[in-house]
Amino acid sequence: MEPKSCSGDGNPSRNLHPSKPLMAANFLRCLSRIQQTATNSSVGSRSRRIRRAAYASMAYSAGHRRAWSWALLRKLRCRRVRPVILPRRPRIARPQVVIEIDRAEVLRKLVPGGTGMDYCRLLEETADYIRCLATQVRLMQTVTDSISS
Amino acid sequence: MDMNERDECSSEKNENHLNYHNAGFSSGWQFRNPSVGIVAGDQRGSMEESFNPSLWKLCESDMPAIAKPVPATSRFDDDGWTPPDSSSRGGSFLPGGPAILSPTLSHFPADSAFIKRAARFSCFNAASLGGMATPFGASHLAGAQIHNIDINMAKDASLHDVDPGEAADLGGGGHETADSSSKDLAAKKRRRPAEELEVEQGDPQMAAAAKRESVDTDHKAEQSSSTAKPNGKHAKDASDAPKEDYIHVRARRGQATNSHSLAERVRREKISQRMKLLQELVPGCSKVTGKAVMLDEIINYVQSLQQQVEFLSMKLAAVNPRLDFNIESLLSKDFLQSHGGTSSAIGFSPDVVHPQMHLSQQGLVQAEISGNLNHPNAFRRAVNSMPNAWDEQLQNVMQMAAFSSNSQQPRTQ
Repeated sequence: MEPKSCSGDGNPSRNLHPSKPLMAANFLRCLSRIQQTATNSSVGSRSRRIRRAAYASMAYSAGHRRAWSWALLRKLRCRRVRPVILPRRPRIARPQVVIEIDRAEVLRKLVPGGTGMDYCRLLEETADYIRCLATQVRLMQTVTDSISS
Repeated sequence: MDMNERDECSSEKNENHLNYHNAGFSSGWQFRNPSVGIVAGDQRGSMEESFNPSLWKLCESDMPAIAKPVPATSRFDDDGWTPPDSSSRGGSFLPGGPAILSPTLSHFPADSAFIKRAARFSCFNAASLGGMATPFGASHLAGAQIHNIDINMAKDASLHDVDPGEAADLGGGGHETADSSSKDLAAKKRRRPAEELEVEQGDPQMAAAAKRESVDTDHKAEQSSSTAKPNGKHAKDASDAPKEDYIHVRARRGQATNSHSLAERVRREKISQRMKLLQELVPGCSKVTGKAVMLDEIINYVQSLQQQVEFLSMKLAAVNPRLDFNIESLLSKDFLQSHGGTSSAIGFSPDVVHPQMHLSQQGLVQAEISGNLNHPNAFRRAVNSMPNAWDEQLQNVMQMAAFSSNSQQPRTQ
């Protein structure tokens, strides 16, 4: 069961970006599916699925126009069992002279799809990614709050 | 040579120059400040907005003594080059549109402090003009730039009789001083603004004005015609680049104007604009200055958000068996599809409940709902008390779930 196949409503409407109802619908749908089909699996696997569902719904609602959502969706679709983080180069404690490059590298690793971009684009994608992540976190927070109360 | 020029550029001469620029002071500001009028399609507005205020601040810090209300002219044209119009603008440069270069420099304010400082800076500027983007302090360059530009503009104004009264003064004084005091300096100055201007959008007026200005200081005779000579050397290529498709950048005074450095500057300003966006997004970063710290904050924030997602997903996984989301997802789907967005849950809940009634064949769902919703009222209370504002939409979804579950419970029980 692939939570990521939460049937993206098919309308990555970016009018209201991030599209909260869209994300909510996606996520809830995935959640319900997970809950339906995986009642007997461990908490860990379920949580992994939920996390993947969260990212998937986030990427779906962001649409394919964003590099990070595109990279995220591709990563989720491949479902390759491999270490997710492939450091491009070892993190060496460098003198402050080259700080910016180091941080850009770190940021590239954090933001999906960030490895192939120039710095300027990376900042743009980071802003969008932060927006969507924050929305997703708030969504999940409200869901958990409402459930657990 | 530069040293000689510096010596020549005595303060008094500069003051003479500057005296003419009373009205045109703001134009000098304009030259210096935005200097990166990025006119790339949709970037225009945002760039303008983001650049100008910061640049204005920079200018303001440089020249506190300047009487001209800097904020009033904070909106530059995209090209950043609108020499002060004598009449209509009155020293305040209106934003928008292509730079309407009207080579009328008549509103240089008589600011003695500014004049003195500019006089001092003009020497620096002379040296810097000699070549390259020497890393002078931006403020110094600004002053020098303004001064130099003012000189040129003043001369230009004088030449073109924009303001007869001032033109006379400008012409007389400007020419004299230009010729006598710093020919080379003037040549360089003229070259610079010319280059800067030429790098601008292919505004013929502007190019013409720049050329005019540039040549003025050199040889009065050659003012309007032989503009191309010095100008063409440097920035012609850049200015001849297609102006509609490319990003139009205004070279700052005293900085190198070859295409590489200009592109660099464009890139830097793009980056700074994006950093500003990020600053707004990341909470608690409004006071942080500096790229490194800002990047640190951004990285921390992204990491914390991702950790929160992990944590919440674990929490949801642990909590999940207790609650069935089917009804909610169904409701949300109905809600979103039929109503296409947010709407008051209360108003719609009766409508939504009816479809729920029709879903009686989904006994499993209903049973699950009734069975699993241990505390429907508590659930509804929790939903209603959700503090987040945007979660109103989610609240609607949850409310509908609560309503439906509540309404169904008596049915199933």
